[in-house]
Amino acid sequence: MLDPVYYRAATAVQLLLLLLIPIEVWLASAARIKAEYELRDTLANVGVSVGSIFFWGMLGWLYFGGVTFAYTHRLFDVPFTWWSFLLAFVLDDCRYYWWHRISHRSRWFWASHVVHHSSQHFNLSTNLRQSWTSQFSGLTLLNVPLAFIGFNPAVIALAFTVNLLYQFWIHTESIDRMPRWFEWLLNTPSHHRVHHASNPRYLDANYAGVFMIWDRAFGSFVPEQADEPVRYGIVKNLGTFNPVRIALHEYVSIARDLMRKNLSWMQRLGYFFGPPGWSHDGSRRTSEELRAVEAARRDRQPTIGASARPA
Amino acid sequence: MSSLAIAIAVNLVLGGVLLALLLARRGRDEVCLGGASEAIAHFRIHYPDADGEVSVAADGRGALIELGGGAVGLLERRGRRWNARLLAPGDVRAVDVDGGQGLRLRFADFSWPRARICLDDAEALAAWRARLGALTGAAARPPRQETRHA
Repeated sequence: MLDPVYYRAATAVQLLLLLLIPIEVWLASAARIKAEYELRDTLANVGVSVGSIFFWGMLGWLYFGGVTFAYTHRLFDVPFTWWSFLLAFVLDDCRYYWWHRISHRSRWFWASHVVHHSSQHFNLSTNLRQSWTSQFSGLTLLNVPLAFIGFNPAVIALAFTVNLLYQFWIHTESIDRMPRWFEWLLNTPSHHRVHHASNPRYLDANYAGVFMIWDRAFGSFVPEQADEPVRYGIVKNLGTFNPVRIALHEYVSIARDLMRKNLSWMQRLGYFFGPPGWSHDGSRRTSEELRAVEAARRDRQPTIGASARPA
Repeated sequence: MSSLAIAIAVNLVLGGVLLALLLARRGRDEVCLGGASEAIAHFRIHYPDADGEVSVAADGRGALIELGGGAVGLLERRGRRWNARLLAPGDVRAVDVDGGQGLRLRFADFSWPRARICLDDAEALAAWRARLGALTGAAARPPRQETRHA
């Protein structure tokens, strides 16, 4: 097993990162940096975080059980060295990319992940707003292949922990852009602001955890544009700061859709696994449809402006 | 189990610190509507083609919009942000008048259970109470087009 010193170090880093939240609040209130905090929103983040930790504690055995089972039946023995950790880190980051992409593209998984996107603010405390049901949605299975290859479960867990710790600092408006090479290679606040946007142009983009190469390779990279300020949140924003409603609202919505009368089984599957915004009667819009409508509107606007301009 | 308890305790302490910091600066962040045109502009961010007669709340914290096709638009402040909903028949669960000026609304939407709109004109208050009251009840809801993601 992995030396516990790594876990102690990770825990210490995590605590230090949490300290950055009140520091960001203080600097923002002194107008030293750009950051917007709202009392109820921030407290809701803390409330959701407490629930998330509780349910992780209760259901974490699903993650460790699956990974340990796969490791018991592993193909190879990958030793724990610096290079094997780096390899595990890169492979796990690829796993994170696909976990994240699926979480946005299928409503059952979105119901779990939407919690993290449900704030209309974007600051370091947004890190705290995490899903209560991540262990239960089924995507934990994506952790199995690395263990099956032969990476020690402790190495996989450490790689994932470092990945999540990296992502803490990118939840901020206080950093504009990093150097060009950095923006190309790694996830940054700018890229992640786009990911948290509800503007149609920015929907379902920048899924990366650490390395932006996955988004660039798989066609989901969208840069932040100066002419399109980010609007944080989801397309249909929440009208509540109640942590229970924040954590479960999409499941309630799915249940209501499934209980509709006169739906075929395929239509019910569509409401369950289809992309967010899918509907059997076209009464809602998916990300692609929202983007198409927005693009058509943009195309119309210059024409109207040109005709209205005086000669 | 002890590490779980410690993690929760750390979060609660953090919550307390943030509560103190944010209470000290509460009020600075809040925004108010300047008028009907501002209200419709905010509403159009969510429903781009929307148009109609706007009643801005007396305290500037929200607005009601009479949209065509039997629907009502609701705009409500959330700190420095604005939230919007298109209310169709069946979306409103109850409408009450609260303290003479406030219209207290309860919705069928789990993600937006209630709202309060303050109207200082008694005539407008009565009219909107009746209008929104007509949207109550889970009677057969007509199909509608809405800008909705999930």
